[in-house]
Amino acid sequence: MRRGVGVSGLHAQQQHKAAYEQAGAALNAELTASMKVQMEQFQHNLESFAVKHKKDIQNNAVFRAKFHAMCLTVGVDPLVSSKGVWASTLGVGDYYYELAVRTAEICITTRVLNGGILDVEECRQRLKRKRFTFTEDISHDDVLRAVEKLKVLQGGFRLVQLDKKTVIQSMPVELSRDQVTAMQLCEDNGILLKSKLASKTGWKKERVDAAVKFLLDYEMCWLDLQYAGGEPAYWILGLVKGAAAQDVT
Amino acid sequence: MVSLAPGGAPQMQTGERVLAQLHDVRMYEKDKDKAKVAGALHVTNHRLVFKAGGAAHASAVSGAEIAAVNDKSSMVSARLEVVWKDARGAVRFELAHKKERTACMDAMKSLVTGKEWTKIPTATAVATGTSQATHTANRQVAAPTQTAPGQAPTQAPTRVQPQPQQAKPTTAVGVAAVIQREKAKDSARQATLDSSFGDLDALISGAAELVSVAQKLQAALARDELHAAEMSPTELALRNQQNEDLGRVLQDLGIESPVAVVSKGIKRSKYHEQLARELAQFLPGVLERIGGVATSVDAYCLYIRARSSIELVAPDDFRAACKLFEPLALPLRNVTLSDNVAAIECSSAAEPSAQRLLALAKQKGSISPMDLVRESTMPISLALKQLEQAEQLGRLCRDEHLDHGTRFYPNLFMTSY
Repeated sequence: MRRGVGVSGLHAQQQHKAAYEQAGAALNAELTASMKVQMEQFQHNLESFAVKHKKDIQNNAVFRAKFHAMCLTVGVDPLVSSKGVWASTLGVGDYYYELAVRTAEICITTRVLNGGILDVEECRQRLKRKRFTFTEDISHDDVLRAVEKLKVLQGGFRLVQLDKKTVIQSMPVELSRDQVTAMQLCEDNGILLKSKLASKTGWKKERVDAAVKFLLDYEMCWLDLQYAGGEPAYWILGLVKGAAAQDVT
Repeated sequence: MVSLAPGGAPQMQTGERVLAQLHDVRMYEKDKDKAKVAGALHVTNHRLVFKAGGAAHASAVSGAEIAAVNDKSSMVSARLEVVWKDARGAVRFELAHKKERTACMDAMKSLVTGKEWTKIPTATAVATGTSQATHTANRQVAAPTQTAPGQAPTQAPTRVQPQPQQAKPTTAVGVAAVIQREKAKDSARQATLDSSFGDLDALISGAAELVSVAQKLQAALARDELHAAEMSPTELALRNQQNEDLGRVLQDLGIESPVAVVSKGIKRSKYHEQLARELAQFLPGVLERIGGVATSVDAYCLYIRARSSIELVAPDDFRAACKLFEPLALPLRNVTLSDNVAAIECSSAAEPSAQRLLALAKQKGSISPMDLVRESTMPISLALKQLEQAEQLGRLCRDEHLDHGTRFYPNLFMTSY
């Protein structure tokens, strides 16, 4: 096709541009209208769903986990705002916000004991022992989700994945790979021995000392000079089963 | 089966009236849209009646068996989905014309919510063979893939969904009876859960379609943004309105997208402004008691506790409200501590906090950040921040030494003279 030149060519270009813009505006208007209709329909469906399943969401951990997994697949976060349709209609928001607050409180009150390291499972057990407004059925997944929500507050809360366990770190310090490895080695019982760390990792004495010193400086572990065998033991209380059950305040 | 009147329309029962009548409707099972059956759909106040093209009978499903009706229409076609109450899933009806969608949807909703089938006298229902016909039609509708397109689904489907096992009435006693009862309860629980998952699937698929449309609009508006300077005032107003509508949907749905941040920010500001003002009323009193500075997490916990579990606030909303302290000239300030922890500071609480730290320093002779951490169970960066604040106000002065690190002493020049 021959390209238009001169004044007529410019006119033709302008006409094409105007036509494109008109078509674009019409498409946007149609999309907006369609979105509004679908939103209304969705809200209606959500209300019907809430009538039938609001209690399931609050009381059934399996259903709750499935709900969140499916929300994730379509790219929506039902907990992002307390004014969103999910939180206001289904009440999922209040459940997780309260859980987040309770989790934060447990981490803060036990911080003096464990240096801000707490096993998620220990935290869950402690949460279950407390009276809870919305539900008593708290799953591991719920605790993880609540801690994830706390991240946005930039308060140093984060999850650290060890081999089998996941721990909540509530002290705003950056754990290096060495310190995480040291914790991984004693995640079953929380007792860290320098000799065991050196033999399992093949690290030199200085590296082992540095990793343990960091944990000791930040009060994540306690030094036990009377441990059986004569070798000093370092107790990471956040990994010791039942340690968080003691009330420290 | 439903018999046909001489005109070819399905025979109605006593008290039954047609709410909507649609021709050229294609029926198919969810996720099996290649096997469609064309025919006519009659929505009455008692049931759904579907007559496949050329069939000698029609099939019917009572309104009592319908759990929900969802609009699954897209930009190009109008589709309505009927979800069954038991675990058989759902069936969809594709309408010939998009304009029929609203009428059909309204009729189906009226059928489900009206519950007029309950008014059919049992004798009439038995006489007209309603329950049997409904059962047959239901099976046909649930498995239209068994028939070729255009043919009536006259044969009973080979694929029959397993029904949840019913607990048989038993007079058994002892351990066997207990086990039997537990099994029955378990299967009932499983059936309920399956049904719930079905409803959840339907809900989330609706959300997925909405997200898809919102994302398309978002992309289109982002493209328009490049030509904003060339737009007329009318076009600009229209685009702003579209942005606002989009922002509302993104906010309501909680769509995670970095592009959405701007539009979300505009739309949420009113709620966040209110929240920021509420925080400015609540936090200063609390901060005065705990040293004038608190981490965001501490402040959030205190605020949520004060709300007594009534309409709690999302952490995201709390953080967004905190960011408005400075723009709204509120007596609170966001600070970042040395370890990148976000904290909130109250200027009016600084002096009482400094006085408290001065008293502590006088009592102990001197204090280090670690002393304060032990005293108040706070992060070390927060302790350091509070001590530095007291130093700036002239209540404390520091001594940095290689042996004992940084210690804070009472500032005798400023406090004693």
